[in-house]
Amino acid sequence: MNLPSLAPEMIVVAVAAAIFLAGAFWDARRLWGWIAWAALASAALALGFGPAPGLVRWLALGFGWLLVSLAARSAAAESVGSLLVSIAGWMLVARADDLATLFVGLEMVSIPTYVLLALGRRDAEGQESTAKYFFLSVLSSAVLLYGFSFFYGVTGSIELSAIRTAMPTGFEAFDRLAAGLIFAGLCFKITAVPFQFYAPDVYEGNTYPNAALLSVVPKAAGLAAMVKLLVIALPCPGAFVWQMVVAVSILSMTLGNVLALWQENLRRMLAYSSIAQSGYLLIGLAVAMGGVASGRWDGIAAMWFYFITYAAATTGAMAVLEYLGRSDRRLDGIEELAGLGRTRPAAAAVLAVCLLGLTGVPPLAGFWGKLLLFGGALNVAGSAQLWFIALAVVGVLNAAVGAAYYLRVVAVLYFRTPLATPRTEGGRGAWIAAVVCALLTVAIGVWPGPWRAAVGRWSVETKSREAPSSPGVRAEAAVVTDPCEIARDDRMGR
Amino acid sequence: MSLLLMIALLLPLLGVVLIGGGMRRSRIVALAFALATFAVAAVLAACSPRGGEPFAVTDWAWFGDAATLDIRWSVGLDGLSLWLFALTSLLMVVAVLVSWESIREQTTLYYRLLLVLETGMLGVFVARDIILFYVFFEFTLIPLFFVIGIWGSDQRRRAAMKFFLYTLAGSVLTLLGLLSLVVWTFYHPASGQTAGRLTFSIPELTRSLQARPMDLNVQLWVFWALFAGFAIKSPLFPLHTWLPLAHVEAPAAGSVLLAGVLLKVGVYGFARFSLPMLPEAAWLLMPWLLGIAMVGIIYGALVALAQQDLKRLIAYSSVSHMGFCMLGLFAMNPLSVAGGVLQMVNHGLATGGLFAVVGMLYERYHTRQMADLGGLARRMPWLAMFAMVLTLSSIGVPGLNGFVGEFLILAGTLQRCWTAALSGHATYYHAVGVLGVLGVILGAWYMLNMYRRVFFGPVREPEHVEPPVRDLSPREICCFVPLVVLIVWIGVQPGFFLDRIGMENRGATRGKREVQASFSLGGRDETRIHPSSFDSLMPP
Repeated sequence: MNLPSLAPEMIVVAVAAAIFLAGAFWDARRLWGWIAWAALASAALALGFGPAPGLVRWLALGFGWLLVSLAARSAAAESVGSLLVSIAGWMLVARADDLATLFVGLEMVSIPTYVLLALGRRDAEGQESTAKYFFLSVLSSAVLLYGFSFFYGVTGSIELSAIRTAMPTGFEAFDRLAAGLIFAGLCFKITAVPFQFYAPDVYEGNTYPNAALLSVVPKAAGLAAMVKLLVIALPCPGAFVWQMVVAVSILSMTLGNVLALWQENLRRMLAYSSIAQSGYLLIGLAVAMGGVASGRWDGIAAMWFYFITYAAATTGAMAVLEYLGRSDRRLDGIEELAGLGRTRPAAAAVLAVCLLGLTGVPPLAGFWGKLLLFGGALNVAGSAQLWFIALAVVGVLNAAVGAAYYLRVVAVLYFRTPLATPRTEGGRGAWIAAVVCALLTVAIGVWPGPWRAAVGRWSVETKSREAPSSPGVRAEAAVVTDPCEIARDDRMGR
Repeated sequence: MSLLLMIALLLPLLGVVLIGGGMRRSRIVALAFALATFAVAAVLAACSPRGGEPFAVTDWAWFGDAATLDIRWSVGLDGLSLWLFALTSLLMVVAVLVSWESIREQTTLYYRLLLVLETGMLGVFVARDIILFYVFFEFTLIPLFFVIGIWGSDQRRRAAMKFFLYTLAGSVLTLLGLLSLVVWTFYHPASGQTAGRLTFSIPELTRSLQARPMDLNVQLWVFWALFAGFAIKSPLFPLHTWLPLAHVEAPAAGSVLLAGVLLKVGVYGFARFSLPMLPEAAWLLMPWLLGIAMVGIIYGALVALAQQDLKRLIAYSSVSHMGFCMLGLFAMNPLSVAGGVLQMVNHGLATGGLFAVVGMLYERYHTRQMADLGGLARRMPWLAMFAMVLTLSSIGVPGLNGFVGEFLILAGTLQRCWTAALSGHATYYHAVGVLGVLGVILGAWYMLNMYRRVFFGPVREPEHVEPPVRDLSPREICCFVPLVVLIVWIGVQPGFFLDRIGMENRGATRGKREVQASFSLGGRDETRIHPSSFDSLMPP
């Protein structure tokens, strides 16, 4: 990896460091947000003209912009700086091609969030949730590193491309141990079951901007790392690996959706929603591992497409709720939104669009994400077929369960008599972020083609660049001749 | 022609943008756009070719290209969809007129939602791409959810949630079924098709799946997956429980559209996907499907007999009548299929109109209980007259449209149940046929009973109503006239409509013939009579 290709990350981190430093001397709350925007804009320029742009790094800048806008009102220098560092971490994970850089990137995502969470709320509840998050996060990093050590031990390299070529196939015990540890460590980042239990407490105990950050940034970094470690570095994973992903996916969807049904606190509900959404995202990963890579129903492309729709809708929902809050107290209960459709029609419409987008009702963006994921699962042929059909069935049923709690909020917005008009003191930045997210949800929904094409192109390029010897994109007709498929069947004793 | 179809789809959306201001302006704009859409649909129907061939087709790339996912913006009309399309645009005019005075809160939002709903419903019937169909199919849920939930009566929130979740739970499984059809066709192209081509086009999939059907066990699974969504929408007997609640709680226009159009979406799904694309499964499951449809007819009729609430009564009568449509489709006889398709339109006209009647009664008396009402023919002769025609059409009195549909359905079904060489279970089939006929008698019983209690006998009105209740206003008469005209027109000249349905070209029947060949059941059970030749049997 050459340094110029890291220019965007370096710009962002340098500005973050400058903000940290300047914040010690000046209290210029209005200024930090603008500086952060400028930093992200110049990073975007550097990325655009740089040697290796990539979709996930663009996403990091785009959502970074939204998150900065969302947090702009309450922006202390430390929180803006931390936000920038974690955005840089997300970009670095997407760019990394060795284990060390990857780990540094992941830690750059994690460590600033400890600061952000501690800054977000200083009462006992907030402190408890931060401590919970901190200890679990450190534990997961340790587990992840332990997994890395096996990669190094078996292949003698930390370069992902070298690991890929040196990786022995049919080494079942290794798959189980190394892939299992890495997956477990990363499941924490994406709040997948059984590493999800911090999320509800942390979201509930903190602010909307921080909850939005937690549901977007670590998830993106975790997914990017999973793709690199489990799909690209592990060309022929044993059946155990994708079965594990399928199981975690089913558990996350079901548990997240079912528990979300009973929540009265908005952030707690959105926390369970983000757990459930991780389950959907993992469908794409499982398809990429268990099925044959295919240009049409590409699991990785479907996963990132779904991620865009999920992140836009979730950030939008959090941003509206932040916007509706008062300067001294944020919105908590679902009941507080009663009758918003009459008192604040625009805000209610934005929130309804975001929630229906998360539900996956056409013609909003979430529908196309789900279509690509389920289509990919149904498209898997061969010995794994039944697993993936079961996965798709559980997935669609969960989409119906999920609709129940998203719609409950929409029903409260429109079908109840208004109690009191919300004060909307959350700041203009939050409102802009919310509107942009809602427009994105509608635009992707009505005209999904270009987005899918961009994600698909990027997925193909990534595979051919990072794994030139890989089976890569094959014609689907070649199902049976896939060497991994045969090796996998042998290992499964068929 | 294809331009006209696009205009019909986009006009309501233009109306959504232009609606604004207060109640007066919104409702006039909404009416103008509903009428304009109806006019365009009428022109399309008038210019439609005989025989039910596809026409007015537009086909644009939408999602991607052939190398990725070739989901297309592909719309067009054919015999199966033509009359449902026209019916939708007509009932939207009725729905706007019914809401004229009764909707007084948030009118702008209300009429916007109605017009959005119109585009959604029209889209379901014109989609020629399987994903486009599904997009419209699900999309209709959103506006109706708000219409029921905001403007409904006491239990509207519960009704809206139950309606949305119940139908969504079924339709997500339908999505899986539809995707399986696509994926299967991709891996198993019929001879003459290029391998490795992913298509979402409904006509192409139908052709391919008929030339080379899925394995039977796969067909059965996919059939049940599709069944989940379509049967809930229709609704078929054990899955109908969302319907009475949604109907009772919805505002009058919501009930009109729900009964008139949205129930047809399920039946249309069976006719468009399940039967032609999974012919062997449909054939194999026929005894079960006929049984389910028959139980729905009888059950809906018996429950309707026991109702005191007018809306609930008509809601359960819908369960019964939709059972007839399904019976016709599932019998897979050319006569009964054509009858089933026509009966969908008939039911939309009659039941849509009856819900409008109930809405007008409710506006005047604020009650829907039959016990509170009586002798209204003296108070409101015009309303009584229109209600009479609608009731008689619903019963299936000869000379009106209901008779044509029910006759064709029963003739086809009886032919299937008696003369078809169905293996074994003769008693069962005979029972299905006879009980289906019994359903007609039960239908006459509860409908006439309702009419007698509400419109005949001594005048009985709720006490809190001021005695001089006015009869229909010209606006309300306008809302019934087109319905009655069509009811009589279909009744006396069914050939015009059946020709354009063109049952000889219907996929369902064509698929079935091939199935018969492949199952070598033998026996020519079909009398190949062109529907127009039945005109001579119709009363003048």
